[in-house]
Amino acid sequence: MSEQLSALIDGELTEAEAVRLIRALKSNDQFRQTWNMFHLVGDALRKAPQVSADFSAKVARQLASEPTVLAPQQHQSTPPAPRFALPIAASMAALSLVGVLAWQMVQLNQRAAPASLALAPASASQVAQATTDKNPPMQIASAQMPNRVKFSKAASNPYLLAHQEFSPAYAMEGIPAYVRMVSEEQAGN
Amino acid sequence: MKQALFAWLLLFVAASTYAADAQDDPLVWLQHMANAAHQLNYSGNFIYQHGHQVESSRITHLTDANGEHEKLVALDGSPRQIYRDNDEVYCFLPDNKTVVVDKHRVKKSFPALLPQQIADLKEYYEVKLGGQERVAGRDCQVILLTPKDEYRYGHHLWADTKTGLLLKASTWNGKQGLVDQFAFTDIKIGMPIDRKQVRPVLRGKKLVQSTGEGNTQPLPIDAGWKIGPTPPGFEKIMAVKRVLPGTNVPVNHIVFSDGLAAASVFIEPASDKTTPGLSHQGAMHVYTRKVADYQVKVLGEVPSATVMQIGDSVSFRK
Repeated sequence: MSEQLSALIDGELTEAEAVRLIRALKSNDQFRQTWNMFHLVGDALRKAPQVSADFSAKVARQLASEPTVLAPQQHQSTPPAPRFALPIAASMAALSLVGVLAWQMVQLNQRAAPASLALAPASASQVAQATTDKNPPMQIASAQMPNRVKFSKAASNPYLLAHQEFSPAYAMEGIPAYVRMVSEEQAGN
Repeated sequence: MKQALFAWLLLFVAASTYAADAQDDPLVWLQHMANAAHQLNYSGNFIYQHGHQVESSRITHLTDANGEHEKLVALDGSPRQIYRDNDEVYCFLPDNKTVVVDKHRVKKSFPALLPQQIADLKEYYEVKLGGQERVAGRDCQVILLTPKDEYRYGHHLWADTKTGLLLKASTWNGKQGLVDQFAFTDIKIGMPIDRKQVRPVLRGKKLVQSTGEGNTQPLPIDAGWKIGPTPPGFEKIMAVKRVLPGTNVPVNHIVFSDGLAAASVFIEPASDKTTPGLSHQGAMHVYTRKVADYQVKVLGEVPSATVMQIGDSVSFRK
């Protein structure tokens, strides 16, 4: 845990990890004490001016007694390392329902009428691509009804290895999670 | 004296209610399971079943002052092996001459699962306790995770009642039924294990290590790529540009996870080997497509709908 806290202070966590940890901080006194301790150590090392021991408690009391200003400002965080600029949470909240419905529609449509995939918002990129692509029928065909291709262990292994590194399955199951990597290719798959 | 006795009694009652609560909470079992898998010593044989195929393997796991050392050895067919020494993974290929070595450069919270991460699973899965069953001669508590939509698999987990260790797991899909499963047939838990048993023998083998830019120092991924909307709950947990072991071209690697299931997106320049399409083995789906002149490959232990939606949502804007 303390390793994670220090990663948070250093800005090394991903957004999702940071959100989780901050949530944990809110509900756990011990984490919070560790967090304060880390900052105290950091301040001491940087020789920052000392404030009184219950400084944060005083600020909290002061905040509690102040009236709430109802003018929320959008929180802009600047991550230290450049990362994938994609407001997933925001777009997902808005689109997840549409996405689910659309996907279900697509799945139904795929069976009934393959040409109607263009309705799905999830495939907007394909539609855009299909209209600009020199060879649109091929693109659409491959996107709508994906080729069932043979699973190639040799070709997939480097990817599987890299994927496994970050899969929570390993966290939950331990080494058995790697069994899918060593599993032999299925005959006639 | 009476007061002291009363205090003890109170403590005892409090402790036993706590224990009872903890035993009834499936999330506590999941945490217990995740801890046991990485903290205990254990060794045993297990079978893995997918489709009509059954394979047996042997697993040895040792945790000592230097961390975790473990191996998985296939007992049927060609001698495939995986060794893991903390952050280094050695993958012995079927030819038994080549070893792919993957050193993890990105410092991650895994393998530790945060309690919060486990609590979050309730958003996308119904988590409840099943009955008590026996696996590999040991009493187990069954934990059932039923997905709330079709973007993730269901899981039945059998945790050793005594230690919490996962002894059997099956993956389910609404339409297909059983996708794959593994189960220990015999296991020893908590005994001393010689470090030599879990040290990979590399002498005389050809080592394939990924070298090059993006591996000594993980690089940020290329600008211009957008992925989304992803299926509900699949949040980006990692994005990095790196060279995969056994290759020399840096690829963009982005991981999406709901806390339990994960899908990786790999983006790299397309080559002659790029074959668009969908393939699978057991619970693992791989979906490949071309976007502009790039190959986009999505894979993970998720249903086909999930890799396809993520893959189809990938676009490139300069």
